[in-house]
Order: sequence, then C-alpha cells, then structure tokens
Amino acid sequence: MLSVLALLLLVSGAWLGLAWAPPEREMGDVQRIMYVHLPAVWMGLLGVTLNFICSVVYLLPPLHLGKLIGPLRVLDELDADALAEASAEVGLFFGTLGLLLGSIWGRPTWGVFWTWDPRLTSMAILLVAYAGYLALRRFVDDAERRAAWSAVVGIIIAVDIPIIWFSVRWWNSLHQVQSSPRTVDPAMVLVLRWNAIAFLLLWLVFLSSRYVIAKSRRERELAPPALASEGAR
Amino acid sequence: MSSLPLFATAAGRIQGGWEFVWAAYGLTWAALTLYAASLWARRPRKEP
Repeated sequence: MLSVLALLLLVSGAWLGLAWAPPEREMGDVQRIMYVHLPAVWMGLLGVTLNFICSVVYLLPPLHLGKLIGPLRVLDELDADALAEASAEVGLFFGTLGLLLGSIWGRPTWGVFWTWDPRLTSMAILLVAYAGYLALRRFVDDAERRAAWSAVVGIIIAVDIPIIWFSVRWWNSLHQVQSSPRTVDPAMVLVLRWNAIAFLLLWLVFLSSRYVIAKSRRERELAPPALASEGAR
Repeated sequence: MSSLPLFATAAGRIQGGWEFVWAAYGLTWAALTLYAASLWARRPRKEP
C-alpha cells in the first residue's frame, strides 16, 4: 500500500517537476534537477542519521528502572543492529544518487561535473566511509563482534554529517547555502515538498524491506545449530 | 550594440539544458527501479 502511494507521488512529482513548475530565473529549465537532487540527498542524510541513532542504541546499556518496570530499551540489540545495517545501505544508496544528480546539475551551471568543493568533498567522504562500513559488516563473521564494531564505526562516521550540512556556511563554497521557502517561488516549494514526500515514502519502503532482510539473516546466524541447519535445508 | 557577441550571449540565463534534466530524471528512475529489484531478489523466502 505504501509502495503504491510512493509510486503515485513519484510519478506525479516527476510530472510536476518537468512540466508544471516554472523555470528558474537564471538557471532556466536546468533547475528542474533540484526536485530529484534535494530529496535524494535528504533521504541519504536521513539514512545515515538513523544509522548513528541505531549505533548509539546498540552500544548503550539498557536503563534499569527498578524491579517493577525492568530494563528499558527502545530497540533490542537484534533490532538495532538490523536497522543500522538497513539504514546504512539505504542511506548510501540515496546519498550516492543525490551526489550523481548534483554532478549532472553542476555541469551546465558550474561548467564542471566535479570540483573539490567543501560540500561535495565532505559528502563524498561520507559515502566512501559508509561503503567501508558495509564492507566491514561483510568481512566479520561473528555476529556480536560485527554489530559492536560497526556500531563504533557508525558513530565515528556520523561526525561528518554536521560538517556536510554546515560546510556551505563554514567555508567559501561554490555550492549555494540552504534556501528558505520565503525566498523561493511558492510553486517551486510545493513541487519540492511533493517530491520530498514521495522520496520519504519510498525511503520507508526500502528501509523496511532491507530491515526484514537484515533481521532474517541475523536470526539465522543466531539460531541454534539444529534450527539453523533446518533453515538451510 | 545588441548585435555584438558580448551582448548577444549575456542573457543572464542558461538556455536549454534539457538533456541534463532528462539524464537526471532517467538516472533517478533507473536507480530506484534497480534498487527495488535488488531488494525484491534478496527478500527472505520461507522454506517449504
């Protein structure tokens, strides 16, 4: 149901972006790339932020609230680790897509596909780091050790998230600073929000699907040998 | 004056560029479709 709604919003969002929204004053029709570039980058950053939260939750000991309530955990360790894996992959996917779309947009507006601008460079570093994070998860066989190590790495990588966000303000960047809806044509704001909601729904669909895959794999690994061999049959 | 190349090109607005727009939207749809297909292919299957 959610995937159908996401698809409908995505198709209508593409039509709004390509045909309905007005061309921008200086960039002309090329600015229409914004309606897919920005939502993709936002979903990428949302994914890696969720990965950071899951990493912290995994490493934090449960809060003990007395005998009546017992230990409190937002997510159990299995869920936190599976969600961390899912959010890293989905975040990497959307982040890479956003970076590639920005590169296509850069060619007609900046004259180059790529430049070592602070925003672009910090984003590229994040994506390479998350590719490493996912590689680490593949190389470590022991489930407990893999979850703990990748949680530590996930927290370290997350330092780059605020750097990406504020890079356009901290340094002299070719990339523009964040726009405000007050300075943008209302028609453009509407189309951007429409596409952002479409991407958010799609992000939820992808995340939940990837979470089911990660959790199923983790449950198979942690199952007693007899059950595991039955499952493998 | 306006016939001079300098004034003729300095419109202050990028002309055309639809090939970049189509490339961006095409890449978006292709990437979303491929990733959705990869998730579908990796979905856990129940043992018979």
